[in-house]
Amino acid sequence: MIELVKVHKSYNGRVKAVDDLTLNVPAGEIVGFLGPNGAGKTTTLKLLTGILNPDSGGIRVNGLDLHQEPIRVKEQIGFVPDSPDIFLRLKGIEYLRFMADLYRVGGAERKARIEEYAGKFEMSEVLGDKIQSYSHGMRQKIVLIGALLHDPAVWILDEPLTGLDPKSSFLLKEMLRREAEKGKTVFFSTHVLDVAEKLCDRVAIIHKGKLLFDGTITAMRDHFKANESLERMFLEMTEDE
Amino acid sequence: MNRYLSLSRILLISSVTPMAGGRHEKIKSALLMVLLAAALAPMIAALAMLVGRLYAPLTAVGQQGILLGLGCALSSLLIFIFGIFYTINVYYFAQDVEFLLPLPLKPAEILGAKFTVTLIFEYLMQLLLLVPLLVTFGIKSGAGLNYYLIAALVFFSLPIIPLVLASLLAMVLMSYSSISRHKDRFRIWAGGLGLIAALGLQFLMQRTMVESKPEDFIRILQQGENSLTGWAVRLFPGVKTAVQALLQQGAAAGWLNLLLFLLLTGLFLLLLHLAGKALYFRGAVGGSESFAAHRALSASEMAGTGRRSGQFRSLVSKEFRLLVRTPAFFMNCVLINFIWPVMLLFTMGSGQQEDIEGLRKLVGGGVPLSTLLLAGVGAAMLVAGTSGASASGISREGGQFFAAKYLPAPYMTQIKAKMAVAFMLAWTGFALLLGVVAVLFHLPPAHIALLLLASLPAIALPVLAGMLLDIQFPKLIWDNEYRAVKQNMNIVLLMVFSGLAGGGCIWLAIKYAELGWTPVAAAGALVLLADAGLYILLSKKAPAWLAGISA
Repeated sequence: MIELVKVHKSYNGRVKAVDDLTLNVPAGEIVGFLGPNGAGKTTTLKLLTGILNPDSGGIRVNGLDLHQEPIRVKEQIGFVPDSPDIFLRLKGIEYLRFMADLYRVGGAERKARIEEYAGKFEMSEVLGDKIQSYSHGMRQKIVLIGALLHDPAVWILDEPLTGLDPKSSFLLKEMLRREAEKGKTVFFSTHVLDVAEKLCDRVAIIHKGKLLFDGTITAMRDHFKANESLERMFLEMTEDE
Repeated sequence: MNRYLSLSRILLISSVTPMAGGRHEKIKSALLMVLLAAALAPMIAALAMLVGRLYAPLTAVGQQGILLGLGCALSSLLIFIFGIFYTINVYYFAQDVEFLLPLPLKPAEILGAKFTVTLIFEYLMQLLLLVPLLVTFGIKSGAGLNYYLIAALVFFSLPIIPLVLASLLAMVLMSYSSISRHKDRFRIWAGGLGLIAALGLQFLMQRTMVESKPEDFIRILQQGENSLTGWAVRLFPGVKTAVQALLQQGAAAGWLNLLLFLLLTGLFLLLLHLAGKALYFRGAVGGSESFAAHRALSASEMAGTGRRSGQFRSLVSKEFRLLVRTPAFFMNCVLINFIWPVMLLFTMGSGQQEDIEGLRKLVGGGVPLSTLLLAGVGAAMLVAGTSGASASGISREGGQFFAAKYLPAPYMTQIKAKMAVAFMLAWTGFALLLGVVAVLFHLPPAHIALLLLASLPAIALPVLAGMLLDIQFPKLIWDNEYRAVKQNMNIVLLMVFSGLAGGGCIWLAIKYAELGWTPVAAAGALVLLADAGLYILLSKKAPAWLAGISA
């Protein structure tokens, strides 16, 4: 599970990107992280993965403190960043081997997982090519495969469906559901409210760095006392006074 | 604002790393500028002093103009040679090309804006070479306002012609070949060929100097009235007129020459405009394509996917692959390590036989081992200091630096992997240089072995210092890989500091040769101490520094 306790993060000491955020993402659930552009979603995910340091507050992943044991925490996480443009001059297979080495994945396991995921996401035919030659969606898929090679206990994904073709998108949603059912923690940001509504057990809505809502879709409907679409509720909630 | 000006402004803003950020970042940026000024000031002062010292004896024979001629010719030549590689990268392979092509811009507008920004960076390079020359010459000749006005105009117009020539060559190359499919391979070959061409040119120039009869040189010298200038400025079109404008600044002929030079420059700009209209889009469209073979893995390759490596080894392997496959990194961080043996061969090839024979006797047996070792240590520092591999280790990550933060490898392991690659490249380069020296000068095997051993701590020093610099001042914001290394002040700083340290060792070796092993022991102890100090500092502080860099 993921625990954020009173986390603050500001840029240049002025712009508050994340403001007093307390959020729990329990194991076995899919939690969607929603918010308008610039709300603080990506900053929160960067704080969770050690890319950024919080100004104050605590972050724990599966009981481990990120500040105290950063490497052990990172080993728990499979992270898919919003930009898949990394290590473009490596070949697909070189990138996957590199990720498997860094996450210390055993020989037989990595071979089996590379074959499985490359087959599922239809990437087997291009593993010998440089990532630079891939389309945006293919880059997204290779980064996704790389993040899953160590069978992470916690999945953190930043806009994972952007750029994926319908088949891969469907496949990923299926995987998210299956892994959550196995007891894994799944936390992902998205702009696609329809996906959040259909896939997530819970949603967390952030706006201007502050958490506005954290609960199930049903709880949100109760909150608004109306049977409205998530889109309408989201717009209502994030509308400036 | 018209579109050309607007685009030039935007491109200029985006090519300069912003100073924005917290107070800490601003202090660091200011510190980098101070360090850079401190490192470059001695070079500028030395150049000014050299010009100052040569002025009087050359004036006595009426040849002071050769100072301006050589300076302007050399500046133009440097801009042309580096310009070919630079313009190809900026015009065709920069990330902004893809965003600019769909905009309703004429090719001349895009090309003009890119040319302008490139030109502004050339001015920065000229500041180091041309300003000390022009100012010292002005002071020594007691020139008036006229001279400084003409000098300012020459300063701003001089790089235009060589840059236009480089741009034309780049456009022709990009338009008439199907290189966009293998653009990385092309850039690596083009860069390598450019380097060989530069070395070849140096070889030819040296050869001409060696072969030209001394009596011819004296005859030209005796003609006086700056007749040597004509010989020096033949290298580049327009330079002669610019130099004449400066030399005849007191008379109307000076302004007339300047006018001629500006007209010629204008003609070259017009040529660029016309060529841009006809050629630029031909090469630029499709420049972002990348070659893909759509190659599935063979059965044996697939079987190999199960092969495991440790984190360090895997990081080293990744680092090496990216260095070799990224043309700008390959040129500045890999190839540069191996030009020394080639340069030595070229230099020896262009030298006179009796000089080489004398050197051979001296190095092969005449020089005491202590002197040889200390000079070798100095040479090793120079070789390692010119490579940008460690001083751009963090900067090269650019926008993907965030990956270093979320991957579960300790920061120090990542730093060590980067340093290991830089070290291996520099050491291999030095070993090759030593190999050539050994063959040319018949070095005994025991001396070679000792030199290889002594070079280990000597190479470690610039590698450690470079990494320390780059962690402190990483240049992570760039739109073109070329900028990560070519406009990276950490590499310049390391070059200057290694030059001072390496040059200092060589000076010590020659100056105090009679003291035997004492200077070797002193320098060796200093190098080892510095290595240990830097390593301890990095081990203790670098992980926290790296964690503090915003991604």
